[in-house]
Amino acid sequence: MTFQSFGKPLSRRTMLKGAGLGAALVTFGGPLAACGSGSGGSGSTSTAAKAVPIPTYVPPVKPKPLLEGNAQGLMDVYASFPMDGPKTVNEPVGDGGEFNVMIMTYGQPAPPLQENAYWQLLNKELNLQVKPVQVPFDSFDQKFPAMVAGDDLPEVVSVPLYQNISRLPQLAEAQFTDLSEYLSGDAVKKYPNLAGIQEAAWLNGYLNGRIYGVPKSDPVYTAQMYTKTDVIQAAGANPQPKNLAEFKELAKAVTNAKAGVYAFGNSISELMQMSFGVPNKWTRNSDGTFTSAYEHAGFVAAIAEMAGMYKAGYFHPDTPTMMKNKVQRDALFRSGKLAMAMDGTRAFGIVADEKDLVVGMMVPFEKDGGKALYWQGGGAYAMTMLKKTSDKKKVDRFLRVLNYVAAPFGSKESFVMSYGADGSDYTMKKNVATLTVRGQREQDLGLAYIVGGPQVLCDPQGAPGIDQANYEWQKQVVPTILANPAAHLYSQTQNTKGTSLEQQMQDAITSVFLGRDPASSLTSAVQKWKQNGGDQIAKEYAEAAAKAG
Amino acid sequence: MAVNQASPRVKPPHAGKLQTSGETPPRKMPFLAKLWRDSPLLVMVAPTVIVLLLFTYIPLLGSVIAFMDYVPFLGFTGSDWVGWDNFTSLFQDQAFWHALWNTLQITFLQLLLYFPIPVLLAVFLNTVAMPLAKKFVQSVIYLPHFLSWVIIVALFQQIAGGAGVVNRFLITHGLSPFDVMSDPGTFKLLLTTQAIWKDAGWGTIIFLAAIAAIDQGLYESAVIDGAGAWRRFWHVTLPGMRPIIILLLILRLGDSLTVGFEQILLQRDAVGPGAAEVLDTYVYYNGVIDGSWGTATAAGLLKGIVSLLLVLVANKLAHRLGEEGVYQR
Amino acid sequence: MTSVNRPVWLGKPKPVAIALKGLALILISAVVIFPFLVVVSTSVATKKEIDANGGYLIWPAQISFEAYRQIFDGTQVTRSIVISVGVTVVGTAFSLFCTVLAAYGLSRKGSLFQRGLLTFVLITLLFGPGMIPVYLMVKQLGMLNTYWALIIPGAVSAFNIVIIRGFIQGIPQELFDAARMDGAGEWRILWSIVLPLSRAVVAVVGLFLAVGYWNNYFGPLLYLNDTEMWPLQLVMRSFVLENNITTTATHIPGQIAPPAQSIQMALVVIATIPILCVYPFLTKHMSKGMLTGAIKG
Repeated sequence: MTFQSFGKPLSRRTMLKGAGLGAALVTFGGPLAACGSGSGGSGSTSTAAKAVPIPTYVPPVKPKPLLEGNAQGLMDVYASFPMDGPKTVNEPVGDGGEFNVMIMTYGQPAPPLQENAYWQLLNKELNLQVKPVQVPFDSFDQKFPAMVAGDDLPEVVSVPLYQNISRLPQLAEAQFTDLSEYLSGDAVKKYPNLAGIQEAAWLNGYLNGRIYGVPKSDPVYTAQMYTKTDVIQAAGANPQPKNLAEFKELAKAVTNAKAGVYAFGNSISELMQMSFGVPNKWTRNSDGTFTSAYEHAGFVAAIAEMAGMYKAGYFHPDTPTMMKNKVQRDALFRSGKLAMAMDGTRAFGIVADEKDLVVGMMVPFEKDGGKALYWQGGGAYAMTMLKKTSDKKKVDRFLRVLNYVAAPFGSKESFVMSYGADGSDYTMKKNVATLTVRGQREQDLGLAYIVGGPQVLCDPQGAPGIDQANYEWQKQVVPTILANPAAHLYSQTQNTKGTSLEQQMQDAITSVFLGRDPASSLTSAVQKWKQNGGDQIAKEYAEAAAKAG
Repeated sequence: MAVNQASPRVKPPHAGKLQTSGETPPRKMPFLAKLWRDSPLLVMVAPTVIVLLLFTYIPLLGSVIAFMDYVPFLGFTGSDWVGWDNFTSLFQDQAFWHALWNTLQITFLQLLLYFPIPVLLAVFLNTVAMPLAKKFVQSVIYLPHFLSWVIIVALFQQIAGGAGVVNRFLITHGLSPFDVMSDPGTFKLLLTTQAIWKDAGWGTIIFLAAIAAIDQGLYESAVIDGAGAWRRFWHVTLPGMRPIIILLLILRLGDSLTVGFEQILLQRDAVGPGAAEVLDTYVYYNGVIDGSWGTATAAGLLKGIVSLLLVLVANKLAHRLGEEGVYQR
Repeated sequence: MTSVNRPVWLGKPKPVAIALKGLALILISAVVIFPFLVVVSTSVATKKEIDANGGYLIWPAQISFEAYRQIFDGTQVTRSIVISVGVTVVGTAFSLFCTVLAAYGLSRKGSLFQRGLLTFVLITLLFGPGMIPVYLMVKQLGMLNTYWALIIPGAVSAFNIVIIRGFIQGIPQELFDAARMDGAGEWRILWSIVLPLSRAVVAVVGLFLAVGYWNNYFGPLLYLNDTEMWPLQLVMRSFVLENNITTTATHIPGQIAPPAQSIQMALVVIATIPILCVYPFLTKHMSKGMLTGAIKG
């Protein structure tokens, strides 16, 4: 009967919004009233010394891509998995022992070991008995704290960075191994595939200025605006508007209420804010203080503009309920009832796997046709940590395993990780490996989520040209990306109440968007947000930034 | 025909304050004799007591975190004490009171509109004499209960939503559409309607059992007394069901502050927190998502206390009406 | 069952009443069957048709069992069904055992400690412990990663005890008195009087319990680390969740696309059918007239 009792209601999926928001949800912690002990950051966290040097980057040896990416985040494109790639791991990895790892997963559990050729192959390659503890993503915020409280975390723990981990820096210090001496600077060269991970990702492995986690890289971009190009062209509109007026023209042209076709089916708040020049969460001013993006002049104007478009009827009438119903949104988009859809990066994979979908990506624009900007992602999806140990051998084994898993795309090890065992997991057609349904299932162990360098685009079974289209999009977007200056800073207030504060802002945005409240209400919402903790967060970020130097 | 006589739940003679009935000897019985006599009953209750002790009472001690800034890795001993802060921060937030008010409104609406429906359905099914038809309806009536809220809400939207069947029809015929899914004004009615669709059939099962327990002899004698269908319902069926109806009503009251968390979470954005925020969603968005176990526990304790008061009052009322309630005097 | 037939003393109803009742029955059936029909239809529809209808449809033009084939292809579904059935059967039996005993044990007013024990049980209706303390207790007792963790912690619910107790208290006192006069002990009375006369409510509570065990996903999620042990509901949820990800999870080359809506609906069908099979067995305990002639008032 109490709220937190057994039959804990289902849908934690609602915590996951667009990618941009997801990246912002990196908090957790104690109650609101604990300001006394919490403010300003107590404990060891804030007294951290300057950070240890970043692991030295050694570019990985890779097969030649179809289209070459760059270090700024533009991804390599491959037509199919190169079968002539290098072997990157030459010495034995494991010791035949168990490798218990907690992974947050998104799919169904992989078939058990006896029936799982992929898993068996992996055990053999690694010379280990891999034992994943899978935690479904929507229940992570329940299971993880319970395991922490019961001291039941396995030896290796991989946590997605958008999940709220209560006082992660203190937790890490108390329970996880400081990996700095093994990874900082040139030390990482002992594990060449880990040295192939770039700085933007490594920054996410730092806590208290020291390295506690090995990261899994993520694309630099966050959400994308997907366009149903055939629908847009049929309406005679331009899928790449250069300014707000053209964008609205496009929305108007594709909307056809009688035919049930609408421009949008969910909030486009991020796109609108970017077009109004709203910065990425925070701005660090020249005097070292931090200002929230909510205080930017463009913020209220952007939401007001979106509300106007809602009122004009460019949004599907089911938008209010569809914001929490991705299934319906996707169905409508695929069947051409929605001309555009804003979604996270993983949605790209889903879109790309639909062979006959005519789809494109909209390049962000500035409202008056000026220089556009695009919010950068955090650089990594997850980090993987090792339970506290002083046994150097254990640490070495852990890093050797990660070194294997992180093997760059195109390498022999990466092929094993991606495709598994010949015959049962994949088949070869014209030198192109294709996963079987069974192979897809067997991979759901989730190891692909724990560590890795830059990702690539490679969808040989997807819609033709989709990867090239994404590459072209990235080529235009990557130079415009804007980082969040607070991305790798720790604020105790953000950790303990940032998520609920953000939720209140999202509620206020939704109310204006759907026309329940006037745009002016956002101004007071921002004031409230500042008073309830926003100002405190800004102050703590400024302090943390000053300390980090 | 007096109501109480018609009831199959014949009370022991002189039920009430003076416990002088044959089966319940007066208090003066020596303790050991009583222990000897009632020991089988105590043995029967033992498994339940053990399970509740282990998995409810001892863990309930953990509710001290309502007074803590609980951090899982620090544990019960390492986390800081914060006194009543978790409670006062709830009380000081206007949104908390607003959520409480919404919750009570929804509970009241559901008591009024939802609660009677399973009773009526059960009574109606009881009057159906066609065995096949009755059996069929009985075996499908609870089907929607097994579908998740995600599906129920999605189907509701497909019918009555902004682009649903109804509105498509209106739009194509040049009429102005209306969207019940995003109208804050009627949201509470919408919730109740959905709840009826999903769970009213499921709810009838217990009342069907209550009807099954009624002594058929009472119907026969009612017919002999010349009672028509309506009087039979009023004087036999209803009194027969009454104790269980009252019991469930009290239990529901004890659950007043809990209303469809998942159902509301799915639809909250469509109408906004003003209309849809209830206690559970408030706690979720203001404690749980921050990982604030203390706030969530404090809210849980508050709910327990309010429920306790409601149950006590309702039980007292039941006694006034001559019913057992969940708890005798 | 003869008892569902019209008793002779009720006489013949009017044709209008029959027609109205029939109409009402049809309406009720339509309202409750509709959502399930949609689920079944969607589960056998093609992806194209589902997309064109916005995710759900009432009647597919083309029938395909592809979704069902995929569900059983190299997945844990079959294994998890066996696990779910096992946990449900054992759990319901254990739970019903505790519940019925407690309900009878607490039903006699004035028995030793009766008020105190009843209060003890009722309080749990109002105050529930938090998730973490229960988890720690389950761990203390060594039940983590065992099926006991799914069965025992939630076995006893005050709600069910109170309901059965309410029915037991409705049994005419004369029957108890007579049995006691014959020298029957409490266990005899429970077995030969209370249980036969409470069949209906015991069946209903049994159904509640079975559905509870069958649908439980949170217990397994929290207590079972080994995915091989997962019951159907948890496996099913992980299928369904795949479709609801909107966040930054990485795109891995050749990565599995989320399952079609048809697979999700097929899972709902698979997860519902076993529990639907239980109900007809219950209806025979729900027939009227258990008390017929038991007392002469």
